[in-house]
Amino acid sequence: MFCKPCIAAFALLAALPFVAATNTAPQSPAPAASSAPSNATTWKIDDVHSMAMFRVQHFGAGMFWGRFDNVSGSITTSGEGPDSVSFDIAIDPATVSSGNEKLNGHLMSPDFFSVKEFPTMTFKSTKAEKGSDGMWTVTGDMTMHGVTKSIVAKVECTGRQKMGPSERIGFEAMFTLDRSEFGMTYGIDKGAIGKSVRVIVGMEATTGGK
Amino acid sequence: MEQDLIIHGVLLPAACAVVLLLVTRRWGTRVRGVSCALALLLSARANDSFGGFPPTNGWMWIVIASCAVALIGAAAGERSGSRTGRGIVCALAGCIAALLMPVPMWQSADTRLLLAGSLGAIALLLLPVGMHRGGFSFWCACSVAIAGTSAVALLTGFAKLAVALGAVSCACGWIGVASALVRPRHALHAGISGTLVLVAVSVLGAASAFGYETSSTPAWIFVAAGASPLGCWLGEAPPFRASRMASALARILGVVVIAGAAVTGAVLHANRNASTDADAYACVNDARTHASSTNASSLR
Repeated sequence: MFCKPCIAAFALLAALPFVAATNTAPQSPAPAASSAPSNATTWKIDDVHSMAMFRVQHFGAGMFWGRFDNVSGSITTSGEGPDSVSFDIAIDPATVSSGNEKLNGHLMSPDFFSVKEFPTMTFKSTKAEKGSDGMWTVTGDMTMHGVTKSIVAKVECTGRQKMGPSERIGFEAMFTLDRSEFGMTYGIDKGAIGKSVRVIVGMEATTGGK
Repeated sequence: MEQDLIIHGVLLPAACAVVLLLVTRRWGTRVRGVSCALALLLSARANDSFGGFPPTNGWMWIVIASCAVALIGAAAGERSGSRTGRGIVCALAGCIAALLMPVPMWQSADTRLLLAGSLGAIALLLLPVGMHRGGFSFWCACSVAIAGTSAVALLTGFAKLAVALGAVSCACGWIGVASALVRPRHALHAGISGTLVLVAVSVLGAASAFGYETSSTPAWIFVAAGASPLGCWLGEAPPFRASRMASALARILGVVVIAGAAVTGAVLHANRNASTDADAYACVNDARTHASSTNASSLR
């Protein structure tokens, strides 16, 4: 029924699924950039009191805001200042919220975050430098939509408070990213939705429990 | 937006229809599926950053799977005339397409088997119609079926897939028009290759839309959208078979009914969600009205 070139074509097609399978392999987390100092404190992010906001220009006019309700992970600091910081943050893109149910569904689709295919966004810091104004310039690898890119965030320590046996610390991070670099291109060429996205992450972390 | 409509709805599909008409004279029906897959490939490529090979986004594998099915159809050609031969080709196409779909919901062995079986069975059932009922009606019916799947994808929030499927739907429409205008006396059969690709695009498109949807849309909507090409069989029913015109119209009508049911279901589901939002806005408006009236009365 099939000629020899056809059999060769079938053999080629049979090899394709293995390429498809490699495409679905889970992404391994990036290695930690630097080892923590001996007096380091590891803080667990309180996901109830932490969130990420993003804003993007809509139709070249207004700024549209959305947010992610589930921010988790850990922060490592040393000293009271603190003197050094490192972040290992995960955001669940399925918790995206725009205030409109239909728009939330579209944001979760492969046109944007593709939450079923890429269920986690992560940020792992690789370098942190404290400026004279007390703000941190944190460089790290951000993984979103299956793509990992290095980004630079401005981070402020917003406060530190003892609460009974545990202690709380707050950080606010702000950065701007080009979503097309992460393969999220929907609406850019039509000028409907901006390419540049500003992200603000408010984090509260604790040394024990919530 | 208008520019997109012209590119994906007119220029690109029309170019594929012209390619099909030109190459058919030289290579016969073998390449008709390749032409339909070309419309999907070009539209998806123009619509999304393919990002090299393998593509980053899992849904882009629908394009590769459809091209693979087109190649299987082209390789099998006219030689698989027997029922067994056609069965083998359909089973092979189903298996390869299902293996090439790294889409959520379709990655386990049992779901891949279900997808392969569905695609193979629908293709096998539709092959007799695609191979022997040429001309405008079959292409038009397939155009309606894929347009229905495209509409379901759009209503469930997957615009990029909807545009790519829309381009294939338009290509089918253009091929139907071209076959009616350019070669009215020579029926332009889809052949094994064309039928396989049209079924693959419809089934894999519906499977992808189902795999990625997040709004709990009922599964029957995607099943109806994927299986809508089977509506062509209405044209083979005894009451319509006697007349060519009645058979052609029934073929289109059968697909319109199934695809229409799927789209209606998706619209109703989308509006049910939207009405919840409308209620929420109404609450806000009520609160504002109440606040303003309270302020007004306090000013008095």
